[in-house]
Formats: sequence, structure tokens, C-alpha cells
Amino acid sequence: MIARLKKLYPWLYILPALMLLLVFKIIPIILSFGVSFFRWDMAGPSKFIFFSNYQSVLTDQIFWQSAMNTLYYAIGAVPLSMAFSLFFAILLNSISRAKTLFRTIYYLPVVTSIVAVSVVWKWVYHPTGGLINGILSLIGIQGPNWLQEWRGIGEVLTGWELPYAVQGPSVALICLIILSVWKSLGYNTLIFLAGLQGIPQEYYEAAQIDGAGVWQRFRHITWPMLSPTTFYVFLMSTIISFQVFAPVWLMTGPPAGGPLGTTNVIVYYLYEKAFKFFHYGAASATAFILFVILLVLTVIQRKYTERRVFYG
Amino acid sequence: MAKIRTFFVYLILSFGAIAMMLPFYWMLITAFKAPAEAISMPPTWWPREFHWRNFVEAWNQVPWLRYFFNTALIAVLTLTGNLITSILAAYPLAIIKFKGRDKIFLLFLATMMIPMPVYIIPGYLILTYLGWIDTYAALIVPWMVNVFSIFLLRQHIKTIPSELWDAARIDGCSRFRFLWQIVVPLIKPAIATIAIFSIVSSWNSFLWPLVVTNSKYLRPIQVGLAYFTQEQSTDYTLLAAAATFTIVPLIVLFLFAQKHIISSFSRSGMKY
Amino acid sequence: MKICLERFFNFGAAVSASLWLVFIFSCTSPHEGKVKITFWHAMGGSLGTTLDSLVEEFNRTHPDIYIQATSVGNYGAMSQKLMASVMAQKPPVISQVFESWTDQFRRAGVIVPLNKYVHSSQGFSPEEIEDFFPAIWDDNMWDDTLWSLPFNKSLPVMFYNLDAFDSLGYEFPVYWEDFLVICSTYAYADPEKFRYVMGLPINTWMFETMLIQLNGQIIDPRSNQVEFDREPGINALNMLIDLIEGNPVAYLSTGYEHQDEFIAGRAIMAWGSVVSYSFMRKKEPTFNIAVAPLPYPREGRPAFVISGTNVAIFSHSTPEQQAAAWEFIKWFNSPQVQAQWSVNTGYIPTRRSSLQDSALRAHLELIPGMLNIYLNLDQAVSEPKIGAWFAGRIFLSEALEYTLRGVLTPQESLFRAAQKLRHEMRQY
Repeated sequence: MIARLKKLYPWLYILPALMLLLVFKIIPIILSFGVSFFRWDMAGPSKFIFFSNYQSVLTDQIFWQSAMNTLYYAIGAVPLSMAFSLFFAILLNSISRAKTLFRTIYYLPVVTSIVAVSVVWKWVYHPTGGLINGILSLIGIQGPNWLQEWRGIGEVLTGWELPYAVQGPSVALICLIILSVWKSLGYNTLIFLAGLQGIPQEYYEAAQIDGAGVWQRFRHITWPMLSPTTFYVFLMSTIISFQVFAPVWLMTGPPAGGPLGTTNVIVYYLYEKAFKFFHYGAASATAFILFVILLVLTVIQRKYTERRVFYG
Repeated sequence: MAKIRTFFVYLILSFGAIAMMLPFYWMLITAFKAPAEAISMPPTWWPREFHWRNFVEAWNQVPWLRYFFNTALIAVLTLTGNLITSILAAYPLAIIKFKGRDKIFLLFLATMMIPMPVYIIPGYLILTYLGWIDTYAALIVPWMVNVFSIFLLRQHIKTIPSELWDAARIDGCSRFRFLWQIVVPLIKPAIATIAIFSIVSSWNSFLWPLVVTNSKYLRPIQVGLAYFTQEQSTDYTLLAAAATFTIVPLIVLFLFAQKHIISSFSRSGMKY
Repeated sequence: MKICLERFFNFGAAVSASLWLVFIFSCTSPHEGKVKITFWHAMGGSLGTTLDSLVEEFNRTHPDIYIQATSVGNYGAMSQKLMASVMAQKPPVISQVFESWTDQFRRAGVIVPLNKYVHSSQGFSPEEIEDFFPAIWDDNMWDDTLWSLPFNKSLPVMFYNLDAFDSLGYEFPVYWEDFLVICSTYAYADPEKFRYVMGLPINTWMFETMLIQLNGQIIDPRSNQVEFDREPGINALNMLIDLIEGNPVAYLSTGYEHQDEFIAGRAIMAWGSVVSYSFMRKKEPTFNIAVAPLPYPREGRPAFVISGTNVAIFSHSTPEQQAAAWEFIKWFNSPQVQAQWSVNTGYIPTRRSSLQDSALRAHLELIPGMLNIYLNLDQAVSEPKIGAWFAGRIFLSEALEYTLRGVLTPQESLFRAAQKLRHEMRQY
């Protein structure tokens, strides 16, 4: 009896979170999974159509374009943001003066609402009066119209006319990637800092006595001791990047997702399906396609990455 | 040698800081410009004339006090719930071995893989069923759990050596006491981090409050900001002014909280 | 450890104190014994202020009805709220709706047909119905049934720098051909100041208007056939290409940027909604703004596509609420209220007799060219009122983008958009 109670013990801790998740996340997810099998417009369900929604999404060229863009976005944003934030976190952790000030400054973009951020960044990328082209014009370069440049980065850099599939992300999409690195940098820096502070100082002191250099200390102490945090940041950034939505919605177009659909991403595609086309069923189907992609990615990441994570 | 290195560290950090701050500098000077100057080309780097009027106008057009009150209320209550649910859930997920642990953790993670727009309609249906539409509860309770927080705390708790629990158990310490007296102080930096994230996300919520409330008395500050970006046109100067005074409280809080976090952190000592 | 507990106690105190405050705030329930009508709208900023004051006036003059107007922020949030609340069986009593939404709602039976009101003693006389501008009235009719009443209506116009035109002694041209000539004059007269005459946004509204001017149709209302990919559509799109290719007078722009360029004095004209005037004035331009109808080709006709929303009554309400709601939307469409609405917001009035209103006349005379626009409202045409049109507009806007960026020819892109819309329409 007592043994059985003991088994229940951990569940008591999980219960509050689980209950809330059940009511506000899991039930809604099950509901929308159901919706994905119906034709469902503004006024509600009209017909059970089996897998037609999935079929129509998976055969939609625009869906595949948005999936490709999402992939580009994640491949660009995740490593860049992680590398920069780890770098700045280590620097911040190593200084003694003005630490609070710097941390606050790096955190500024995170606390600002995306509405204000998008207005400011539209100006940064503005073709004639913007910050970037203003700086470029000082050294005599006429910058492009960043957010309207739909040519792929491959084509812009090489000057060759490349087929669409190998052009790479458009310049406009890269602008959004840069914006997202800027916006998420402070967030990840803060997480890395919390991780760095959890590494006992004695390790470094011992290493110093042994005569280890900066790189060796990073390689043999910081990197392994920080791996739980790094794993967290990697997994979370991937999940967040695949769900990027607000900058596309607020900064591109009209039509949003432009120029020529090169900044369209899966969640914007889904949003448009749900609230502009009013095909709520198809939107739900898209969400589950994304869900499967992310679930597979997560399981792979956990299997192959968490094995290497060093927990105390 | 060490001095040169420190110099370079500060130099790099300063460059980063400038890149981080430029857009804010822009926002601040726009808030002081006359409407015509705000759209002039090439843009001016310093306002020709300081228009304090923008702040007065932006303040008077929206019931900010009410919005600030709502946002603060939502932020504090959500934070409380968030901390309690996250700390409790992260603890067993990190260090107690029990059947189904990995499955439940994956289930938690899975809830983050459905994008927000999909939740809006089923979420609304559930809130209607609960009778919570147009109440504070609709703005707070659904956000009292956050898998990001649970996951982050799990990662930190996992690094605590198991010998610590073995020693405490011998002293007759219960699981619950161990959590509050040993674990929580050890993971303070992580707790502080999730607290800040929780406040920031409450502070910036926009679409959800619009959808689940009708009464203008329940609206948070982001709705006030959106007042200046109409479909027809954006009032840059007023938007910049309003954005400035919505961000300032967070910056102050952040500066204050950091001081507190750092001092409490050095007190706990991180020695085990 | 003590510190920790203390902090939690402090939290607890803060929480309960706040909860009490909330409780006190939410303990008010006025307007008892009145028929309460909830009204969802997306009017923000100064438009919202005007609407609120009109609603207040209605509530004052109708002591047995209480209209509770709720701003839902924007049309995006509006569509989400409506979808969700209809599914939850708890929509508002009345709401702003686009024609495309009305079509979906009426098919599902969630809004109330208004024929029993309009033909009753509480309704409109045949003369009053005649008094509505035909395009605005027909926008609410499906066959012989009235499903909504007009709410906010606007139309596309050209704004121009009156001082620049005066200095060269030009009048704003009526015909497209003359318009092109004048544009190129400006483009070369002072290239330092005006490299381009205007910014050209990717916007379906302007294209639709040009299509109608060329005697084309977006969708044939009788046969329900998509028509915009025929010759008039291709010609209209070629006219837009003419502006940005060859010797360009316009540059491709996005959103409302071209209007900011205009106000800042870097462009001579800007295309826009008639409602934009008051927003432009707020940014304090240093010159006089005048307004004119979009020029039309000599072989075409003067016309413009009207856009905006209507108000519908949801069927989840009680008969008393529905009657009271009708009372309100009918009042809102009375000539005096429409004149007042138009003066304060810039939306066009729904009825001809509003133009007799002296306050509206006086207001229109202050804006050079505005009265002329209002006197020609009979030329208005409404957008297609089919459920699929919201999607159709996105397809069309894609087509415009692909052509104006030089990727597809007008024929290719319009055909592609039309095919997509045809596919979409099969679902309704």
C-alpha cells in the first residue's frame, strides 16, 4: 500500500502543471486534430472529408515554399543566435564592472513588443532613409531595397542566374533571420548566463593552477558543464524557429509573406488558411503536419544530443 | 596581458551594446520629433526641436493607467502560478526516477509544437465552457503553466549531484523540504530567468487578450500601443512615445531585479 | 531560506490584494431593464471615438435600448472572435461583417434575414431605399433577401500636391492618357526633387477600379463566373506596368509607405482610400492636399470600387434584441447620422440625401476636390459578395505582385489567380 502511494508521489508534483496543460493545451490540440478532418469555414463544420485537408495542403505548392523558407529560417537563426549568445554570455560572465548595465542593454530587444520592434526594423531596412543603407552610402555603396529583394542570396552573391531550388533563402528572408537573432540574443544570453553561474568556481581555479589556457578551460570545463543548458537552448530555439510568425505577419508585404512568397513560413501559411481563407480544417491539418515534423526532430535531438549532455 | 584582454572584452561588449541599442535610440528620438520630421529624408539623427507634446498626446488618447494596472495584475498572477507549477513539475522530471517519466516529459514538450494560432478557437471554446470569457481568469489561468520554464528548471535541477539527496535523506529530510530548502536556493539564477521571461511575455501579450475579452476595462497595454498603428496609417511619433513609456517600467524592473538576483546569488554561494 | 519564504509571503499578499481590487472593479452592472445589444467593431483611434459618441447619442435618445459597443482592435482579431464565438454559440448581437463573411454566415443560418424588418412599419419606405446609393444597398442583398445594412464605406482616390499642380498651371486630369503625360512632365521637370511622381503599392483595390473603368468585371454577379482574367483585366494590369517600366513615373512600393513619401513632399501624388485624408493631415504636410477621382482611359468609363463593411444581426439573440438591433442600424443609416459620421471619419455616407446636410457640405468644401467625389457616388460599384472573395483578393494580389515584379506576364498571373479562385468557389 505504502509502496503504491510512493509511486504516486512524483505525480503529485506534476499534477498542477499537468492539469493546466490538459485543459488549455492538450484538449485544444485534440479538438483541432478532430477539426482537421472536416471542411470547416467561418460558421463552423460543414462536412467530414477524411484526409482531404491533408491532401490539399501537401499538394499545395505554396505550402512547400513556406516549408522550405521555414527550414532556411531555422538553419540560419538557430546556430547564429546560439553562437552569438554563448559568446556574449561568456564575455559578460568574465567582467566585473558594468555587468548589470550590459545585461540590461542586451536584454532590451527581448522586453520590447514585437509591434514596436517591427516598426523600428522596417526603418532599419528602409531603402533610402534606412540605417543600413545610410551607413553604406557613407562609403559610397548604394544598398538594395532589403525587405523587397526576392532574389536568392546565392544569386545575389555570385551574380549567376540560378534555378530556384539552389538559390537559397531570399535577401528579405535573411533580413528576418538577422532581426530574429537580434531579438532572441538577450533571451539566450540570459539562459546561458544562468547556466554559467551554476558552474562551481573551484573548477576554474583548479584548472588555472594546472596552467590551462582560455580555450582549454572552455573546452574541458565550460562546454561540458554547460551542456544541459546548451541542449535546452538548442531544442527550444529549434521549436521556436519552426513556429516563427510575428515578423512575417508584421513586417513583410503586402501581401504578407512577400516578396513573391519568399518570406512565407509554415505558421503564416496556416494563419492565412485559417483567418483569411477561413479553411479552418486545412489550417489544423497544416498544424499537425508541422507537429509531426517537430516531434520527429525533437525525438532525434533527444536521442542523439542528450546522450552527450553531462548532468553533474 | 590581462589588462589588454579586459580592454578587448569591454570593446566587443560595447560594440554589441551599440548594435542592440541603435533601434531604441531611434525610437526615443522619434518620440521627440514633430510628425513631419519623423518621415523626412534623409532622417535626422537628433530632433530639430523636442516635442514633449507627443508624450502628452499619446498618454491622453488611451486609458493607460487602467491598462498598466491590468498588465501588472496579469503579469504578477501569471508569474506566481508559473513559478509554482514549474518548480513542482521540474523537480520529479529531473531527479525522481518513476515509470512514465520520459513519456510525460515528451508530452509536455509536444504541447509546444502546436503553433499559437491553432489554439485560439478551441481555447475560446473551453473558456466559454468555463464561463471565463471576458474575465481576468481568461487572461491569467491558461498561461500559468509554461513548458519552457519547466524544461529550463529540469535542466538545472539535473546538474545537482545525487549525493546531496542521499545525505539529506539520512538526516531525515523529506522530498518536499529538500526541494524548497536545498534545490530552490541552488537554482535561483534559473528561477530568476524564468520569472523575467514570464513577466515579459505577459507584458507583451496582444492577440489573446483581444480575442478572449470584450470589455475595454480588461485590456492590457499592448492594445493601447496598437491604437497608434491603424490599418490606414501609423502615427510614428505617438507610437514611439507610447512604446517608450511602456518599455521603461520593464527596464527599471529588470535593472532592479538583476541587482537583487546577483546579491542573493552570491549569498547562496553555490558551494556543494 | 528565510528570504525565500518571505518572498513567497509577499507574493501571496500582493496576489490577494490585487484580487480584491479586481473584485471591487467588476462589481458594477448598470443598464438594468434595458434591451442590451452587444456590438463588435474594429474602429480604433479617432474613428472609434466618433463611433462611441454616436452610440452614446443613440443610447441617450433611446432610453429602452443599451448598445454596448466593443472595439475588437482590428479586422484580424474580429474574424477570429467571430469564428470562435459562433462556434461557441455566443456571438454578439450585431457585428461589422465583410460581404464575404456575410455570405458564409447566411449559408450557415447564423445571421438573421432582415426582410421582415425592412418591409415593416419600422423599416424603410421604397423612397428611402431609393435614397441609398445602389452599389451600397445591393452589397447587402442576396437575391431578394436583405442580410445586413451598410456601415463604413470608402473608395479609392488620388491625392495630389495642389501647390505643385498650381505652380505649373495644371488641373488634375480626368483621363488616363492625360495623366500619363502630366506624370512624365513632372518626372523630368525637376528630377532632383521628384525622381518619381508617386509610389505604386501592390494593391488589388486600385486594379479592381481600373478593371471596372475598362468595362470589365471582377466576377459576373449573374453567372457567378470569374472574369478578371479577360481582356479588360490584362489591359488594366498593363496600364500599371506602364507606370513602372520603360520611362518610369512610379516606383513599386509597399503598404502605406507611398503616402508618407507624398506627405513628406517627395512624391507629387499618392493613391489611397478617401479615409486617408484625415490621417495625412495629421502628419502636418507643408503643402495643400487636393483629392481627385482615379483617372480613367478615354475608351472606358468613370467608376470606382467601393469597399468596407456592413452590419449583420446574429440569430443567437432574442427577438427583442433583434428588433432593437434593427432600430440601431437603421438609425445609423439615417441621413443626418450618416452626414455626421462622414464629417468626422471621412467614410462616405450611404444615402444621397446626406449630401444636403449643411455641415457635411461645409466640411467637403474645405477639402479641394472632395465635393466632386461625393457628387459622383452613383458611379460606385461594389466588390464581389461571395464567400470565396476574401481568398480571391489574396490570389489577385499575388498575381499583381508576380507581374509588377516582372516574373509573370499579366495573362499568366491573372489566369493563375482566376483558376485558383474558381477552385476556391467550388467549395461554396
